[in-house]
Amino acid sequence: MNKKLNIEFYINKIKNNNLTEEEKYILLKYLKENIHLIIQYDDTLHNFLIDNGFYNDVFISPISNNTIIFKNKDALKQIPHVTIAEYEDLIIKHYEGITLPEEEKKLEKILRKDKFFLREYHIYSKVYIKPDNTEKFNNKELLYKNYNKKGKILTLLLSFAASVLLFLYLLFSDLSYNKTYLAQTIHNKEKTALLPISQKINKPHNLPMCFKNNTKKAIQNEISIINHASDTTNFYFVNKNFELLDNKAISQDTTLIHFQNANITFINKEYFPLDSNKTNIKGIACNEIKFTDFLIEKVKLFFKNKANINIEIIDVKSESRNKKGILINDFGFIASKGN
Amino acid sequence: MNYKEYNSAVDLYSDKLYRFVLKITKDKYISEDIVQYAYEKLWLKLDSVNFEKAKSYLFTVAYNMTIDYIRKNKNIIKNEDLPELSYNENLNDFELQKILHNAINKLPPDQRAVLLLRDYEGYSYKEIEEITGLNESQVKVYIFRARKFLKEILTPFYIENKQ
Repeated sequence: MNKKLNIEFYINKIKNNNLTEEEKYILLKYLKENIHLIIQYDDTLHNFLIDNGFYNDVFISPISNNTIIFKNKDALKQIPHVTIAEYEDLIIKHYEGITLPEEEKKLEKILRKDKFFLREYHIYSKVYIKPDNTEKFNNKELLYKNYNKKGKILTLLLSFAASVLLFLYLLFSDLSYNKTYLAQTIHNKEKTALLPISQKINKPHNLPMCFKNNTKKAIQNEISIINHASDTTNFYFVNKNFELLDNKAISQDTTLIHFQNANITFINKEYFPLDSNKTNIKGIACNEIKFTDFLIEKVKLFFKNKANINIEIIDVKSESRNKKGILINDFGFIASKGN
Repeated sequence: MNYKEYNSAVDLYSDKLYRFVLKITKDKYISEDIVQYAYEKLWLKLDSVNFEKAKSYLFTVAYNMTIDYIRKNKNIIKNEDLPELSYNENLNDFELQKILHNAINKLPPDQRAVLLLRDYEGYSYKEIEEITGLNESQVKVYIFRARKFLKEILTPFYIENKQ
């Protein structure tokens, strides 16, 4: 046990500045063992202790490195202000699996910060749709294909053969036209599955030439329209070689404005009267037709009833004018059965 | 692709394709037509489409036709209202999906299609980009908007349930 020192004696000596070196040594040693006296006599001792290096050998050694850790550092750190769009995007990115590592860390901080964000995170986990597997495509048999190479080659060959035959037919049927025909009906060029048209035309022995006068010639000219699905149908008149009649006028103006002021009369032979004064068609729209050796006019027929129709063409007249409206020729034919 | 692979593609993908289209058009007959059309196109492209690419080819054709149909018939297609569900009941998975399926009908067709490709088929953003012809950022925007919309629909259920 240390001997008790008369501290007051030493304090007075310090104040009087007459402390010997030996007394100084004794005092410093004593104070190290009795720290509380420093606090008690701090006013006098403060400068004395500093001057005499009392604190030089006083240091606090660390209590072994990193053994005590403040675990809640993250709670102390402030996250930057997070907007709604930002945290929502982070959450969606997280569930979509496209977050970057730093974004994952940021999201983790946000979720720890507030229960509100946790709830949002939880709800976002629910916004994924599962397919309704009860819905099935029931017509798979329509999609399956039976297929073999032989069939494909055969199909190609048949298609090719059909094309060649069609080409030859068109080529030779065109050449077989008799150029003396002024006008004749030809079969409908818009044959479709919806509009089957069969046509029966018995060509007369002598068709009228292109004429200006109202020459009558006999023609037997019938068209049968079978099972037409639509209320309308089209067929075509071909006016061939009319240029021969007035070659001079036409040669002055090779591009004609052709007014097909057709006056076409049909008779429904079997069933019922055709609509509109028996299908008189007037004033077909003007067509600018580059001059060729024949003109084709499309005529549209309107029917009230959908049924098989057997009609006979009685009369067709038309005229052509040049661009200035001057009559170049008028022509037509009159046909009547058995005349 | 040979015809056997084509027929496998019918088995594998026709239901999925049909569900996808039906979810957007909400019309069984139109959806069946579109599926048929997509497969017809695939059949015609048999020589140039690999079996591995058949699914995305089908979805590409169907997507384009569907979006085209929707645009032309936008006045005819009606949005379905959300079903009335009590907020107090605990949502099981079936009810949750019911709400979501009804909710996606309110999304614009483009967003709906992109979301379905993502959720139904699990396509990546890149694959969706190829199917739809949208760019990747558009795909991302559509998906994010759709998710936020669905979350808005779901939020009241969860808030009420917790309280």
